Amino acid sequence: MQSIPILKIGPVLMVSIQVELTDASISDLQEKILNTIEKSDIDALLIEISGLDMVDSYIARVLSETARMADIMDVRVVLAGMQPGVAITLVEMGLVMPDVRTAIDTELALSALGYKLEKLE
Amino acid sequence: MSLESEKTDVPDGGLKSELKRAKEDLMSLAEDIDELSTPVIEIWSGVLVLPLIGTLDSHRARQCTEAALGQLLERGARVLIVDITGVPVVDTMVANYLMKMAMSVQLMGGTCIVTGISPRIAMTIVSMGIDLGGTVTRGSLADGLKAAFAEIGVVVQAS
Repeated sequence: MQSIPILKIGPVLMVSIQVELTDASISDLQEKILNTIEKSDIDALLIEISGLDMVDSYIARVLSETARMADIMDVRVVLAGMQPGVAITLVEMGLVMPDVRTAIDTELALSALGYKLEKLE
Repeated sequence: MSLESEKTDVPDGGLKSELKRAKEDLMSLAEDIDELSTPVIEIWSGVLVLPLIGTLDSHRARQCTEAALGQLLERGARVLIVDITGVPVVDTMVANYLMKMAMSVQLMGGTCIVTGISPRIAMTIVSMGIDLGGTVTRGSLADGLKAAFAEIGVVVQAS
């Protein structure tokens, strides 16, 4: 099974999903994310899904549940980079994830979380 | 009788190829119309406008949505204004398409503003009990642009 990197950049936890997800791997990922949040001082979680061309109802549910779980653990969450096809499919299926904040790309996601990447002097 | 004589004039193979050519012509015409009917304009950095003119059916609605969402991603835009000034009839189906479009934009992290709601369309929407489900609406495209500027934090001032 390909592993999905969970990167901690300061107070931001970044997860970039670039492989096709199976039911097992998404549950595994959810657990890893929540464990990392518990262990380290995380303020915000950025889930980047531009590599996902297809999302089924299970994956959509786990993603929005992960966002809600992180929210309960006082971590703000943004889902970034959803492909147009995925958005259309989710709307057709009636899975509009009203509780999850979304952003077009990682940059806008970071600014939605209140962060900005700056070069040090 | 005349039909039969026509049949014998044109050999079967010729008729088939002619039909095939006509079909291909029609399909390329339909493609041209599709392309012409869905312009997505970047009116400001981060603000896209989709001016809809004519009737909306499921095929066109889906095509418009795909084109708009694709541009949203490509240009990293944050606001999509859908202007329906040129849409003569808004019924439950059309309202449903617009809502789905708005929800897809929201899922991608953008904001969708529907503009060009004429008094007649507003009357239809309310009297038919159509639920727009919290979609941001504005009367004119200008008002929509104002709302978009507010969304992206742009202040326009006359000098």
